[in-house]
Amino acid sequence: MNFTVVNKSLSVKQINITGVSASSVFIVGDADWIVCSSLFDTPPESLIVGAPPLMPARVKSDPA
Amino acid sequence: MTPPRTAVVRYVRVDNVGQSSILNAGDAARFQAEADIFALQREVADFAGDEAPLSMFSAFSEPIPEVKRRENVFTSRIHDDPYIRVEEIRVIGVSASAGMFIGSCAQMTMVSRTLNIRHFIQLPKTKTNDHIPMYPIDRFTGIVL
Repeated sequence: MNFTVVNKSLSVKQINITGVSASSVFIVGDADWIVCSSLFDTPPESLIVGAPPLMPARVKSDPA
Repeated sequence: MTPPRTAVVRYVRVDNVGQSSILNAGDAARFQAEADIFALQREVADFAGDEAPLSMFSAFSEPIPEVKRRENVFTSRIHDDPYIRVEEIRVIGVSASAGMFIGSCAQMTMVSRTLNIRHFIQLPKTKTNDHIPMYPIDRFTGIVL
């Protein structure tokens, strides 16, 4: 397959972006290929109810 | 191959770039970024720092499907105007294997994997708004310690 791109004049005054996040891209330029993959997992077992595991006692190390 | 266009940007303001992200000014051949995020929210914010190895969760090892080219595409580019002009760019944050480029980049590959766990000490009470249960905690199928 033959694919022809004609780039005409491109002139932008202002771009305002809050966030570019989790495998995304903001590009002012040319690219050949872009692959973005994002995986977000919240399975049912991602909700845990119960006391948090006991934390190891934070003992100040005694240099003596 | 036609050379890429030149980006001309007069003013850029970026507040924050973090977590396997880049801000690139100029051309690049390849950009590859990976971020593994384990988001553990606890009712009481007490963390040991080594809660669990990421290898415990399949989300961080699940293979990402590969995109394959089904046929060869012969691309030819004609630049009537070899410049991309932008007066002003303002970005608050670039985060979690993301990229911001002023300039061209031939290949970009980014992967981000997020595992979100909410840890309550007591089962949250069901909030009912007359008849619609807002939070279907009755059908809770999570883990009770």
